[in-house]
Amino acid sequence: MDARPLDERFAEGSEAALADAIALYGQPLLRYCHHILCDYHEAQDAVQTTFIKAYDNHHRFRPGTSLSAWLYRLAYTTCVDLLRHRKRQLVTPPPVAADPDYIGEDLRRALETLSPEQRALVYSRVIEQRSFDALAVIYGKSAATLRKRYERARKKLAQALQGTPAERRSRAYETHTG
Amino acid sequence: MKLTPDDLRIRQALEQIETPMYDIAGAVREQRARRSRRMPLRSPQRILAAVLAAVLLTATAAAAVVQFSGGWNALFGKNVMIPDGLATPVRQTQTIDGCTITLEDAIVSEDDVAVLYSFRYADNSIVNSGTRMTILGNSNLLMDGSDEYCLSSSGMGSMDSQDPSVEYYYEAFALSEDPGDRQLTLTIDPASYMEQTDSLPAPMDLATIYRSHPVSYSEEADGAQRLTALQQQDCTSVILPQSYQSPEIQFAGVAFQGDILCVSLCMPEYDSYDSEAAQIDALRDIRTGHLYYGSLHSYGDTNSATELCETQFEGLSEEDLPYLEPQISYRRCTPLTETGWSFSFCAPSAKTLTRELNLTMADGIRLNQLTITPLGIELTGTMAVDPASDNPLYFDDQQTPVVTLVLQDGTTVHTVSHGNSLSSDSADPTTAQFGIEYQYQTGSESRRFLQTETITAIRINHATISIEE
Repeated sequence: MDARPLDERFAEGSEAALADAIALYGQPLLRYCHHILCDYHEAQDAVQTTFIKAYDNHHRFRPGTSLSAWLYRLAYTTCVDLLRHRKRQLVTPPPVAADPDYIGEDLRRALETLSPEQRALVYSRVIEQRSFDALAVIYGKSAATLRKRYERARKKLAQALQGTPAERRSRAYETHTG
Repeated sequence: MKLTPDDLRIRQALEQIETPMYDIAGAVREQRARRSRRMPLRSPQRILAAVLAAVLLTATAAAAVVQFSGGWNALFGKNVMIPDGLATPVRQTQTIDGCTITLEDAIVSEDDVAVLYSFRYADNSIVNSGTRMTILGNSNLLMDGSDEYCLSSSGMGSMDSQDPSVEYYYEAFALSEDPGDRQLTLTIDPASYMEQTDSLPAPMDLATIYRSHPVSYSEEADGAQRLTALQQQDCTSVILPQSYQSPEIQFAGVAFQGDILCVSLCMPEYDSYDSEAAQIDALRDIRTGHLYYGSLHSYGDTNSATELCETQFEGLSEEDLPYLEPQISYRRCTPLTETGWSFSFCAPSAKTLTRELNLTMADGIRLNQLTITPLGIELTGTMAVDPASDNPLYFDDQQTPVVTLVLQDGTTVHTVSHGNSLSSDSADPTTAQFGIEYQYQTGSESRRFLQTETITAIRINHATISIEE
């Protein structure tokens, strides 16, 4: 087994490193994309495209820097590109009420009040609990800027969630767990 | 990381989103295998046409191209082509706290705006090295002072610049309204830099620390649970390599999660613009000198402003602990500028073209719309899918239509697909919608940009669509 760090092996374009990167980061990236796109099937496409782009551009990755941050950045731009396509496809029908994407309708509506960047930030902060400095590496923006943007996003989402069934469920959970 | 009540409520709401597992490795493998099976179909006529086009392009390049920033070459290849009059030279420079950004050129069209800007230090020092990375703040494009017109942005930086004292950035913004002759403002948030040390040895007796209070936790244990468990261990004898400079970064402890060895540092919440952090990069076996590398995990503690940085190692057991020495690297983020940059400019917009299509290709692919801008082409359409198939939805590269353009001077411009999106249609499970983006190419490695008025026809596979006035 090649015991060198994953980032070093990945930068060389090793197939095994791609498999390791998918094993390590694949499902977290899928969840990340799902929260940005609010569409599970598009998230599958996004995460698949992310790894193919990453492998095709392995020579652009600098060993010694964070592979995880690089992959998250690629995933983020892939999601934004997908959303751009979606906006241009004016014929795209709204999602049906059958909840095929594993997100309740009220929660989807609340999330859709945020921009893709805001959804990404909220997910990275409250679910992945990443620091703003870690996020600065992913988004290529300063930690101070991201903090301000996150605070705006949090306020907006908290307002959008007010009184929704999703929020009532989370309040019930909060009460239940003390 | 300390979560506020709003954070917690949002977290609990988001936790209701279920993301089922998906065989990503299988999907990636399948798509790559299909791609590698793709054989370029080149008839003698096409080869001849390509050669003729290349000759014509070379002959007309000097006449068609004006002086533009060297950044275009750094980003898009040495033969990049920008037609006369398409790019607006902005050439505005602002230096803030010894950091200079120059907004070099902009391409403004009815649908999008592309900007190219450069960053350099006033003393011409290297922008990015292995241990020091310059981090530019976010960029935004405002129209008449408002950011509401910007639909999305995508960008890239020059990774292989010939001159390490300058870094070029290209950003393309899709807009909801024609930006022609309106005031455009590019803002770039303050910059910082991150420095990282090499891995430094941290001699300590991991076995004694572990045996002072053996800890094992489940995979689900959160940051607070991990920290609480590790606080029982006696780590008082540990002196980290930079404990004098960074006393708040401390060794947290050693534990097992199943058969995975977890070695951790703890530090204050790393959310300041001016802060430090550290991580355990590897464990060195002092008997053999062999380095074991692990995977990094970060956990926030919601009860205290503390962050646990844990490195997990597979294949190491309690018997190995007396012989393992952590190797630690430190990183520091330091603000470079107090304020950000702002550049205002105005330019007429180049024309974009949109055509409704009704083209049926092989494999049940239908093309509905074509959008041509100076930056590239987008094709949208629908394709048939088998709802009973368990295979993941993908767009086979073999199905990607080949798009070429014919210009007024008779030259042919080849394009390369640089991204596609595919989404299933929940109302009709037998149909998926797709969009494919293409960039214009010159030669095999360089990109070009186009005035859409110079296009007379577009070929999509074997169909030719005439572009009338």
